[in-house]
Amino acid sequence: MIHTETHDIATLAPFLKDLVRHMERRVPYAAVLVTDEAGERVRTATTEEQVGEAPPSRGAVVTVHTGRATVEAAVDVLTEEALAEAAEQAMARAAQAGLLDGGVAPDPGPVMDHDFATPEETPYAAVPLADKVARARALRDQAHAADGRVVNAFGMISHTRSRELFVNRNKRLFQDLRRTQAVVGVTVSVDGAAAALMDGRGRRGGWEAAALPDGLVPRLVADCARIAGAPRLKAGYYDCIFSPEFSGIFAHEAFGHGTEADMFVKKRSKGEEYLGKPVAAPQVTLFDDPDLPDAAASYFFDHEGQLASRTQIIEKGVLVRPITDMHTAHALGLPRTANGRRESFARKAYTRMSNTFFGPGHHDFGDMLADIEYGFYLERPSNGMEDPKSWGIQLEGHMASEIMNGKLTGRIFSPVIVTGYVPELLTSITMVGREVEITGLGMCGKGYKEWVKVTDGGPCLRLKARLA
Amino acid sequence: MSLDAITRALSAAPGVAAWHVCERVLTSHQHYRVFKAVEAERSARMRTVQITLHTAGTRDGQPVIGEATITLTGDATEIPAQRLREAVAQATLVANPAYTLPGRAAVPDMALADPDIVTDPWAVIADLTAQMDAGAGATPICASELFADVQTLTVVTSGGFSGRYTGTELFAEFVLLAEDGKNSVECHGMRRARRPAELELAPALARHAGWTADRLRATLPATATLPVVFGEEALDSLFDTFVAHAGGRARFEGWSRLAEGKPLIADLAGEALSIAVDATLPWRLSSRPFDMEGQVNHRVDIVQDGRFERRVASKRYADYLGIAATGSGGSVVVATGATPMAELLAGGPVLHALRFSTFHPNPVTGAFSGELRTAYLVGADGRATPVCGGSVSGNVWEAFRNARLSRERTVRPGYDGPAGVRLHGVTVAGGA
Repeated sequence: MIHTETHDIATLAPFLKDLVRHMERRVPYAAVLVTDEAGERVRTATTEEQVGEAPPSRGAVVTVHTGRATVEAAVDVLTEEALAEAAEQAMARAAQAGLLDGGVAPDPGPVMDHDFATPEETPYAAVPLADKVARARALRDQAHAADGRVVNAFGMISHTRSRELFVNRNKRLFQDLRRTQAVVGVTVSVDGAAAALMDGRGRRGGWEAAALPDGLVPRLVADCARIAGAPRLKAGYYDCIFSPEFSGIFAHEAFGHGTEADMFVKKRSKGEEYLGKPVAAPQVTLFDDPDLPDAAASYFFDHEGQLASRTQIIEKGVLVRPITDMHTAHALGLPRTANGRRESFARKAYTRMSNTFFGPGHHDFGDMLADIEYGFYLERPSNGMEDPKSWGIQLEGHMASEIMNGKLTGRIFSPVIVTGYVPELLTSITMVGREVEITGLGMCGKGYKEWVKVTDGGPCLRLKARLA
Repeated sequence: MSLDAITRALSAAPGVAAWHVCERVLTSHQHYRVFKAVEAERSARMRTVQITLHTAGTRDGQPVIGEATITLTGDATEIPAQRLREAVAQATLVANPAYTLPGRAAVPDMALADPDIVTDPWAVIADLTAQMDAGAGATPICASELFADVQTLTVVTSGGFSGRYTGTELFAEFVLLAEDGKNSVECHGMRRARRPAELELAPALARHAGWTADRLRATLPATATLPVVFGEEALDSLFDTFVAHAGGRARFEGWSRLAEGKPLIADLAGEALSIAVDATLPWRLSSRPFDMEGQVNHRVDIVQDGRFERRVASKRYADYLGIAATGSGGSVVVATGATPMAELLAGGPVLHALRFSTFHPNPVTGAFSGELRTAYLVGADGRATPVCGGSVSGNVWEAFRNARLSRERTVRPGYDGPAGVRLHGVTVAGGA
């Protein structure tokens, strides 16, 4: 069962319109975002089973922009009294901190009044919980059946419903977002050496999104057994092929963070110096698209009321445009994109990615393998980190498959780390695969916190990289 | 806000065999700057009440429990009757080995809340902002965030436990810039503590300012197999694999490689480790008197003189394994060694790794990798040259066979132990 607040947050809109009008008698810009996120999670492991609500997040944030700074008050009680009190609190703090005078306020945008909802082929709430438990158990049992060396496995089915209402002087926007995830994880012990892996899919939508592709579980188990006790590769500079998942984490870390325009405002991004200049091989394209059909991180508008649309970040190897939020677009005079996102109502909006991916090319996997004398095919990424100022990058993964004389030898090395200088890696791309894949299980932090849902992906990429 | 109506409803609900309720009330004051200008100020309040209920049953003749959770937010003081009925029905869909919730216990008094943060968080933030600027000196801080949070946590269980504590937390994130006309670099740092005294913001910023300047002249290290001395942030997660394998959960799930009384590391050639997990230390960020289920936390000496002694286990895993419950979480406390830091860095080339882009040894395999953000290559003559980029990789089970620990101690938010740990045979991947 997914329990959202008993009253519909959309009904708060008329009151919030009045509240914004009231605040704008004293400040040049005001807005309110109300969010009501709830979900359900079923996890059945070999040793334990859990079913219940995913931690809900329900509240509102009142934003006052004084022309100089943003002052916000966030509350978790959605009554008119509590919201009015939050507005007063924000106004009082703006005055107390001496932030009320000066500057130019951001543009509230054109007049809009819209309601959006994620379509569900099979409404998640209509499926009995027992069926969800059965599906999670089936994933777990499939993992055990695949290999007797599996010591622990889990299947997990989860669903999140997020309802959001944004109101400013000109806009009333409401969205009802739904995403569903199916995940399977295994721990395998081979001759005393254990390893753990997980895989799955996350997509926008209802119960129909809880299915996993055929063959995913046996392949996961087989890969986990292969990495258990596998040696590390010899550190060096190699020809590589990145799997679509690995390309995805590369897209996210390499140019996603570096083109978040709040990094420009803070003089933290080398990308700012390269706008309009080549940063990658000519066959490379990169996008951020919160409007991508079915993708788990898609939305209809961002947390500052900007309607979702695709941003092309790299076109034919040239860095063409950053992603922005309201504050950074205003401060830098850049076009606004729908990337102003919050972890929750209790946190500040920053420029954040959504679905970030490399565009397709014209090469087959076989073409990419063909002339590699010695190299590695990198799969199953685990994490990454970027340094947007110096363009350093770290990507980690669980699996590097050896390539020799144009063929995969079957030898596996684990784990693997890629480090390097972003433009060097991007300009070393010589082939781009045809098929873009986005798996949808990712989350992204900003600095040391601020987790938001993102996805990333791309086609296979052939490039050179430093591995260890 | 009272939890009485909630606990009464749980006690009276048909089919509910046991329950625990955890209420969190958080207030947060947040201050953001871009260079010296205020970008934003925010305040937030959040309350959640997480209710976990158990149902009782049998499977294959063995007692099992069903479990389900309900979470209330805002000012809710009651569980809607329909939600409670649904949760009981949900719980019966799963079957876990039975365990009992913690019962009545005395809650230790622990110093975790700074009264200044509770009474005037904005004043504390203003003071910390000044400390930050003073510490950075002439090095520009291009972005900073300061949070002053107060959290009160209350746990009540059907077994009779009832406890409450309030803790404060300060969070500071900052980015310093340096340029020399040709290059510009940043140094991104973070500090967390329960009160300003432990945050030590001015000295931390001064250290980061030094690292920022050094980074301008840092070069890619050469590929080699070297002794690496881990220090500063690089220590924060270095022992996490050992702690994970020492957990009740790892044993119950079948992947712990540790057995009581046996050596932690096979074929040990270096210093033997003594490791404890301690949630009882005053003013530590990872200290708390009890866990989310109401189990009172204790210090657990998991490894002594190189031998694995005892598991850390919540009440659930303690019951599953037939061992004593210890609680969950806490600082990783490592006994210092016999070697002065200067000696650990001698006999170069030695890599002194202070900060990685990210560094999380795999909890199951122990494999680790990290891109170097702040590091120094210390030559045979003792001269330290800054290096950056490239990676350090290895496996803790092998690397600790020949570890040496510094005599000097350092205290970090989740770590209390040697200021330097020298590991041999670690791969450094960099340039030719």
